[in-house]
Amino acid sequence: MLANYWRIVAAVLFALAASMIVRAQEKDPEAYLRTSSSTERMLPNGTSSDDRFYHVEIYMPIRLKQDVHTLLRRRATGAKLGAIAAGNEELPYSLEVSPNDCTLDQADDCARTHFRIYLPKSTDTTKRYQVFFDSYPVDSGNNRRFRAIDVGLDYSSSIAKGNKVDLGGCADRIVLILKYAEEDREADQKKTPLRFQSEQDKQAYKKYAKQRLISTYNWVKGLNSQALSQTDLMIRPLSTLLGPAASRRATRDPSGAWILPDRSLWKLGELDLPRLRVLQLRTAQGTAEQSADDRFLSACFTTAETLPNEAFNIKVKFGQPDVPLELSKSFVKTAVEGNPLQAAPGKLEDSKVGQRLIERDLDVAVTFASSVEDKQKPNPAPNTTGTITVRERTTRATLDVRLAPLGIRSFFAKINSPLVGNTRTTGRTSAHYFLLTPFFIDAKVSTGEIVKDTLSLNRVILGTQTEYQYIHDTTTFPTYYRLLSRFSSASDRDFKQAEYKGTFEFRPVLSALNHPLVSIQDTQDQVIIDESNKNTPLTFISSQKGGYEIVPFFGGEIGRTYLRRNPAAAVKPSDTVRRLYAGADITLNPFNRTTLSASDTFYFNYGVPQKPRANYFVTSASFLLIKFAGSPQAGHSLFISYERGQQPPFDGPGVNALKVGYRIQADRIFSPLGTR
Amino acid sequence: MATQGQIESSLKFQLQNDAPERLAQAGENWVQPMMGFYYGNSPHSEISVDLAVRASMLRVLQAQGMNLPSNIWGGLTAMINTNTAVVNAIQIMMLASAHATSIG
Repeated sequence: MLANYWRIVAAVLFALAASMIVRAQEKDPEAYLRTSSSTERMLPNGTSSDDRFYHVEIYMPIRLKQDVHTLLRRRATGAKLGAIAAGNEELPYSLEVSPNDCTLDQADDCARTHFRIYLPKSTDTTKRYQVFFDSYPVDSGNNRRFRAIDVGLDYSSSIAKGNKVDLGGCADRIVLILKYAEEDREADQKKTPLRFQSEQDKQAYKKYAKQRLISTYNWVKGLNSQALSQTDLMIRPLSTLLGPAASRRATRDPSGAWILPDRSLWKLGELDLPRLRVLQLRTAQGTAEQSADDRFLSACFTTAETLPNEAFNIKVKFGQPDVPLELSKSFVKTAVEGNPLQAAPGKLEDSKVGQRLIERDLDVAVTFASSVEDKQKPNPAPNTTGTITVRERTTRATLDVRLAPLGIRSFFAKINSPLVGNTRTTGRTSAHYFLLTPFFIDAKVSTGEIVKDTLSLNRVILGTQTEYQYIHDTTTFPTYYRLLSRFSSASDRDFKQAEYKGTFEFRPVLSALNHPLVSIQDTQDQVIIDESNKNTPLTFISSQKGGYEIVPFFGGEIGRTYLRRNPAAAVKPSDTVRRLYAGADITLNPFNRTTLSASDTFYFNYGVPQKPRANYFVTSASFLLIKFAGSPQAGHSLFISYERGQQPPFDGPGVNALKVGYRIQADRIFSPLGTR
Repeated sequence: MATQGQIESSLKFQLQNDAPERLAQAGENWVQPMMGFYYGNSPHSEISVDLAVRASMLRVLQAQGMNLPSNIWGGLTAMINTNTAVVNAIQIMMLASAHATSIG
């Protein structure tokens, strides 16, 4: 009795295991949305029908029972196996036997595994469809119930920035990419999709894919300017606050909110997004046949307007009535890299060599300077002696370098923060912060002889710098106090006279006086969102409200000349350097990429008792260009500056010069990982 | 090792103290923006971010009687800057906390 029981259990387990093995070997059915060829659209009476414009090709992993299959081939009633649905709605299109079902099978003339559902031209191909089989009678006499199958695509189509996909000639442009699956790709039989299982299916697919690529290629090539204008290419810059489109006729209320004519509050929508006009869609492949052989088509968009410099989302919709299936969806790409501006534009510190702050690893500028001044010249008149005053313009090029080749090291000491250590439970975070620049070069040299009226200071400073900061808080616009000390050796351009000096400087950076433009931000809807990768609906934007920075400073210098070797005539020998100074740097950012700055310094110089007081003023305007050489750590700008007054060592009549220049700034290219 | 929840609460607490208006603006999406949204993008903002990350991390570690080796602190602040999304900063901080060692 017990033995029988165990036999029964063993038999059941075996049957279950066998069943599971069979099930495990059965693949899921597959269904693909395809465009019918002109032959497939033909009705029996020889006319083409839009009712059969598309079809869903279905591949089953197991053979259908012969008599059901026969009924289905005859389109006889009572042979319905399944249906197609969009969401919860079943569509009224019947299942048929596919014309590609026939194989060389001797017993049956058809494989009994291929089906097809024809769809009309009006079908919304952007929707997702499912095919489900209600009951699937197989030859063994059993019925299979297959779960719903998603209708897939034979191809992938997308857009990308040309820089990312390495397609020649498409840099800084948007590229359309269409790729058909390759039938010989999968070497592993187990992974081979049903549609590529048999040689006949492979050939049928190959023919279809080639024909579709040729057709799509020709469609793209055939787009004239009128057809291209029907392409809607909208951009959502992610770092710009957008306002309502003019067509909305919105007005602004006193609080700054936009109000629509119907009194409702305006909300950013697709209608408000900037559009780029498509002028050309150029294919990268030379011929349609090449595209078909590669199973790949790519085309660059040429637009009348350039892509934004900042990161952006983009949506492209081909609005042409005859758009191919492959290009019928809305193409969305989010967070496309623009040509972002250097994150920290920095203001132009164009003066005071040896006193300028070393805040970046590399800061190089080339300037072309031109100034006018009165000069005493020998009187050119014949038979006369003496001099005459001539107003003369001098033009020179100047190289301005600040370099910290060993990087800048930093560390915190004693962090006071809410609930950290023995400090407060609420409120601000403060800290002591130290920076060390082991070695820096600060030089500004110009062409021409070093004469009294040279346009450049022609000074080369080598030194080391330490900085202590008391960080009062870490708010968005923090208050912190900088105490800098610098020990340096200063010489003329030709290293004929050198002096060492120590410099101390105090710079209080107060929250109320410092709202840099790059720190002013806002939020707004992204509008264009990638449905397959939904993340934040908001974008976080540096707003264009304008920024300002006002930093006073106070300092002193003390030093001595230690080398004097036939210095240039304009380099005045001095044994000691003792001076105090005070001033302020003011920077305004009326627009995102424009910086206006002014700096005034008052000196009290103990080294020149006959003229102890002096003043130096410099003002500049700079326009930030797109990032330098594609590097996120470097930026470059054009600038114009005007300076007037006297600078140490106060041995000349002062400067009065207008300069136009080009500047490159980079940060953190020499600093080792983790030191800043 | 700290949990994601502990790091999240500590960083949110820090942001609430440092940039309450920005935190309110971001609302429930507060982990999506970059750190620069809260601390700005000026050169000094990098220091503020470093400090905020250290303070947030210390808060969690001290509650557990732990601390991080100095090289991990260096790596942590090098990996999180004004261009790091808050959600990524939280992950980096959580991974760094795995190196925590007991104090004393």
